Amino acid sequence: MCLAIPVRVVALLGDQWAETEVGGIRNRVSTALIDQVAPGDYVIVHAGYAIARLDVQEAEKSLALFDEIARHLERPTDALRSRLP
Amino acid sequence: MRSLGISKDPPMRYVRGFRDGPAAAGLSALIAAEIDPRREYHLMEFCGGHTHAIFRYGVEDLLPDNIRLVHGPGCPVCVLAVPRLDAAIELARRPEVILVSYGDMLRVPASRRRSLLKARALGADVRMVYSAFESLEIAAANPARQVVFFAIGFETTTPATAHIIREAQRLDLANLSVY
Repeated sequence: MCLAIPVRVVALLGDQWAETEVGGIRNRVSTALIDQVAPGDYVIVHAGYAIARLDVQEAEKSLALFDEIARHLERPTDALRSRLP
Repeated sequence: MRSLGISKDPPMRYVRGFRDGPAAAGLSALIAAEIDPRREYHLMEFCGGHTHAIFRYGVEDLLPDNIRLVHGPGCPVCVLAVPRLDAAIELARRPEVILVSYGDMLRVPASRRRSLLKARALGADVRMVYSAFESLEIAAANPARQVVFFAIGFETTTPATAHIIREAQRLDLANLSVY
């Protein structure tokens, strides 16, 4: 319910639909709720609807942070082990 | 060395790592050693799922007295009034109804230990969707059934709900309603 992510618009499909991509995953989203979207734009998508257009730099910063989180999650979680009593 | 969290063994990866009593006791001691006893700490969790987990696993009892957990708002899924969910289950049990819901609603407990997932197991036609607009497709594909979209949500989902109502009107889909 709470998750909304930035995705890149790949193509406009007409009739207020767009093809989007994030992390290699493509999806069809509705653009009925926002104005003036174009290929190359970043939008925030929640439950299949683009709900806001994003500044490109802001979006790329967010996606870089998500990548960093993903890399951390892949690492073992023993960082505190040596400090346990 | 024993892993604190994540086992490499895929099926148990997200279970065993979180049932490590000695690690939990160690972390609890570590937190107690780390905090400043002269301070009061107030931490708010914003997700109702976190609140459920804190109570179920007794996390408050593992924290020092000067760490207070403030139970935040929760999103509309798990702070939904139980009678509302009971009513949705009753709707879903009607043979003519297809109840359409976001997936995170399905496991939320209703009264008498029921849930939409259990109602579905007992034969109700409950369909999980990623997006509200799928209700339009389901309604178009099932003209003889009443399709009810369980319009749970807040700022982010309400515009989508409004959009499908407008689209249902435009497409003349008389068998779609929103609850």
